[in-house]
Amino acid sequence: MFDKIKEILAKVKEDENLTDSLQPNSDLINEVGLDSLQMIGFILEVEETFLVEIDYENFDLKHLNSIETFMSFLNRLEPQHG
Amino acid sequence: MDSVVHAGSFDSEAYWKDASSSKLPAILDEQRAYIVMAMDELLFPFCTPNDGLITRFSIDHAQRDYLNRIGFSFSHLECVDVQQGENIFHPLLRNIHYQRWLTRFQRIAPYAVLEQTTELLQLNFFEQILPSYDVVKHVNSKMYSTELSDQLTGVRRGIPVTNATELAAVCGEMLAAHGAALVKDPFGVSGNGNIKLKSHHAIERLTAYIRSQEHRGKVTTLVVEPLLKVARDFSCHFEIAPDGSTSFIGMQEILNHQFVYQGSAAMREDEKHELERKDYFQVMEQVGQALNRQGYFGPVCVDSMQLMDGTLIPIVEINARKSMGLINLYLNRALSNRRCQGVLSYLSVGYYKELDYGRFLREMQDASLLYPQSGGSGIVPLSSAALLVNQEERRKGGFRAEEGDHLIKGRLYISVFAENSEERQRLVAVLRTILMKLDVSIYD
Repeated sequence: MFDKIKEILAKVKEDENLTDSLQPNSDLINEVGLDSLQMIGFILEVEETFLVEIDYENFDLKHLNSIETFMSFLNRLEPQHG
Repeated sequence: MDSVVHAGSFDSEAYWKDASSSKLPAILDEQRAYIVMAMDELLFPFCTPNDGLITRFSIDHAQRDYLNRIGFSFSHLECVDVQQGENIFHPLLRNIHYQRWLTRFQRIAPYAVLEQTTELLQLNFFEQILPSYDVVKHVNSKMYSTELSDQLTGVRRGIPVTNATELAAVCGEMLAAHGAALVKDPFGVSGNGNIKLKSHHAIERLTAYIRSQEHRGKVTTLVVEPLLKVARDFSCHFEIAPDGSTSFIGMQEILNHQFVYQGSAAMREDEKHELERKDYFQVMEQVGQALNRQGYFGPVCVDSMQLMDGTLIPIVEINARKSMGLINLYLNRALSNRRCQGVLSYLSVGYYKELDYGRFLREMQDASLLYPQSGGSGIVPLSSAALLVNQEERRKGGFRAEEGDHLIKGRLYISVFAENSEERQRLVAVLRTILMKLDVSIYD
């Protein structure tokens, strides 16, 4: 999951080198620098890759405090079929 | 000369958008919202010594002193009682102390005309007219700029959609033809209010999100555009007088990254000549005439772009309001010389320890960085509030401070005056070391 998330982040940020520098504790907003537009792009890609649905309206930014935190958030979501 | 009071909310689009309209997905970042509210301090370059500036938050006294030193003096009013969901004009309508302060000015120059700006005029404070709120709202909508672009250029680029089913169909066509679709909210701003869709899954998710809002009674109006390979973004700035006459102000290169505004710089003369040869300015004149026929007068910023294949797209977006490019033009009018031109930009920063703005300016001065240095180079910090607002709000308990989330976010707006881009980069590199010394992280 960690490698997939790194790949998605590199794609959203259009920066291939990002996969080398990201660590499980990397802060997605402040270190990766996801802005509001990229955040939605990131979430759409994550949904497609991991077959989950994220509630945008109630999404709390603290889930992006680190890749690790975001992975635990994803693991708590019900998988969607389709 | 009339004395003028300058005020505005930089998230004007949010006030123009109907509450009954469906929204694109967005994730709420409270600290970012406070930074946008604090951007009204960036209106100071429009002030002459007789003028006044109203801001939502305090301007640090070190910044006031500095602005005075470099030639920007003005009266200042801090509106402390702007409530949740209100813009800067709301408190002016109800607070008698603010209204007394307003009586010393003959005119108001808003960043953008909002509903409450026109209400303020009805209270007879100012001897002037403004375009009607409905007109301003109409011409600032991307539905209008899309329609006008079609009319004036004969090329249909954006397609308006009015429900989720149409949205899915048009996005599907764009995806098949161009590999991606860009969906824009009619009242979206840079980095917020548009969404790039590159897969059928993304289209389905967005469509479902919009459809669920329609089921709750919301009305959809969105514009879908192909995702184009952009070589450069730029903007044309002019002012329409109430009688319809247009005065050209200037051209700006827009520094964008992935649809997010990064800065403004003056356009080179040879590039202006190239645009002239391509009849670009004729289209801009027609835009001015069309806006005035609608009943609009005031400042205009037309965003334009040139694609990788050389195609010129004169009308990407019409901003019938002031703009960052206009602020940069005014800063350069006041502070540039033949050798050194200013480029407006910003750094997104974060810090954990309280930041002392006075110390920050002293460090800049000690490092020979603070404008003006020899030959008119140097960096002008443009807003103390955009840097400090979340520190102040946290101190006041104005927003949720969650456990483990103590990072204070800010934005450092700067204008970098230098002879060339190498020198400009050197100055910014020195600024970065100063910020690091003050334990401020920079997020690029």
